Amino acid sequence: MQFNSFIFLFFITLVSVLYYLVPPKLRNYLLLLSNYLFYFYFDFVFAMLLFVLTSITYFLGNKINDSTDHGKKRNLVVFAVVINILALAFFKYFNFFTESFISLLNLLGFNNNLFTLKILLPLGISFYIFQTLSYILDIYYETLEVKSNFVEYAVFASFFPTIVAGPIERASRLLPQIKSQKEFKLNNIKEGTYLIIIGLFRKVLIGDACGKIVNHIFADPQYYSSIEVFTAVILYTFQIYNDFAGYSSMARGVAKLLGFDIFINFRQPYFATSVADFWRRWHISLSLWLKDYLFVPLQMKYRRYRMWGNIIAMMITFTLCGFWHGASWTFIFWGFLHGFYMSFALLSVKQKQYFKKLMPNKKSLTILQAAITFFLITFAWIFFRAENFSNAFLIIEKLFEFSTGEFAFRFIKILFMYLSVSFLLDYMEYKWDTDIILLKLKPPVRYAISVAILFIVFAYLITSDKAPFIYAQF
Amino acid sequence: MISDKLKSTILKELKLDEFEISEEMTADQVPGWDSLSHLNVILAVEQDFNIRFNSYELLKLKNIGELQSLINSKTVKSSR
Repeated sequence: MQFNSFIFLFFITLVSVLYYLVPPKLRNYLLLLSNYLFYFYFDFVFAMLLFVLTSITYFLGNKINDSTDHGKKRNLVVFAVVINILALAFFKYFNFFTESFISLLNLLGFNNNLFTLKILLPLGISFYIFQTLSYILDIYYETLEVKSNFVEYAVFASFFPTIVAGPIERASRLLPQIKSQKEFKLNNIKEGTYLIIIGLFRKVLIGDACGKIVNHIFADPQYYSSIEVFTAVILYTFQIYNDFAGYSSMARGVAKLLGFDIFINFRQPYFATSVADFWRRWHISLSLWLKDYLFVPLQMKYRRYRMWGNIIAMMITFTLCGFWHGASWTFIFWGFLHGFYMSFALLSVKQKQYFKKLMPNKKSLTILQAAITFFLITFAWIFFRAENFSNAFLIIEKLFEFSTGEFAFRFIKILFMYLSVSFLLDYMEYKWDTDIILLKLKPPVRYAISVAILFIVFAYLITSDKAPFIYAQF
Repeated sequence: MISDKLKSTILKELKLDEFEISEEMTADQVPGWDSLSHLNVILAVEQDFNIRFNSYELLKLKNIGELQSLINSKTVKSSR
């Protein structure tokens, strides 16, 4: 049941109506039932896995909470973290580890036929495991002030608006909302609906449309000219952004319909003036998670190395961030590249100050910084998107061939069109300081635009295959 | 209350001339105290007060007031 499908629109309408109709006491039961129905629709067996992990984590969370002995507390936390990481490692990384091991053995000259298992990836596992880990760690660090019963916790662990691809919610933010009584507010319905419409627009009309061109060119870059490959690389930068930001906006909208306020996951990431700034604007719920539970603990551990402590922590965090996205060396390299960019920036602070002095005009300096950042991020996306390293290197080689093709001008026109629309949306979000930009337009204009978007999106969904969300496969 | 010594350590490390620091304040509300400079602030506190924190103590901190209480508990212990 993808967010961009009619069955989901039916499901969310039904759940929202029932949610406000049932007595407040029963709402969390209804929500839990909806969460599991939503998950069952994808896979019944993996729903069992979700339930088992939820039960274990809840049980261990209680034990950690009740324990007064620090040593025992720490052991329980380690145990809970290991169980969750093992589940993730088995379902997400088993194939990767065995395949890497076999190629290593082959490289060393050992012929082997080690048995391999083809393991399917349970939907949303990377997201919900990070959510349950935040519950355990928040209890350990005493940042979680509310105590919840099993049903409330199970609603948190399987929350259907965020389970497929985030935003990764924190127990300390979501659990109090699950516990609170929610009144029916027309404003929530209005905001939720507009967020869903904007999300559909970004996903279907920008992301998927860009994706069609990107898929063709990335599949066979050798047949295209430099300009065409360049178009595909930039279009992918906008595809992944609008696909994921569109999903996140829909997730926020769906949660809003039920009276929940969840993370704003994106804040105009391509307006960033440094790679570090990019990470404060891109997939914010993951950046904050990594910062709080991985970067800061590592940084504190290596603090005696001063600046190098920061660099070690950054390199480990971002390489693991890449690995979290997918079990492949190209993702690991993508993460490593981001860690490298930021470490390099940290090591060259003095040189940066010098260059800044050479450009007294603040506006042009900002534009230059944003352009350099955009270039670095786009370059890294090549590895994120490519099937393997040889595909990525072929793309880069093609870019530097400086060849032009028959359809070059047409490609540039397409690129310009999608870029303008995506940047316009971002500019409005920035200018009005809200992600519900439709609400800032005057009613007749707002209604006309909303109806037009829905009409085109529905026409598109009826006539073509629904493209899955990119982040749903992580 | 935040002691003058802690305040001056923080301000010196972040190269700030004057900034009012209260107990409820969190690191990100102090100009220049970001995730990278956090390391330097903690090291400066450890050096100036001649104490050593363990990671768990540091990760539990929620605001500057809690950092002050942690320093107080450590300095009382070491002066005994």
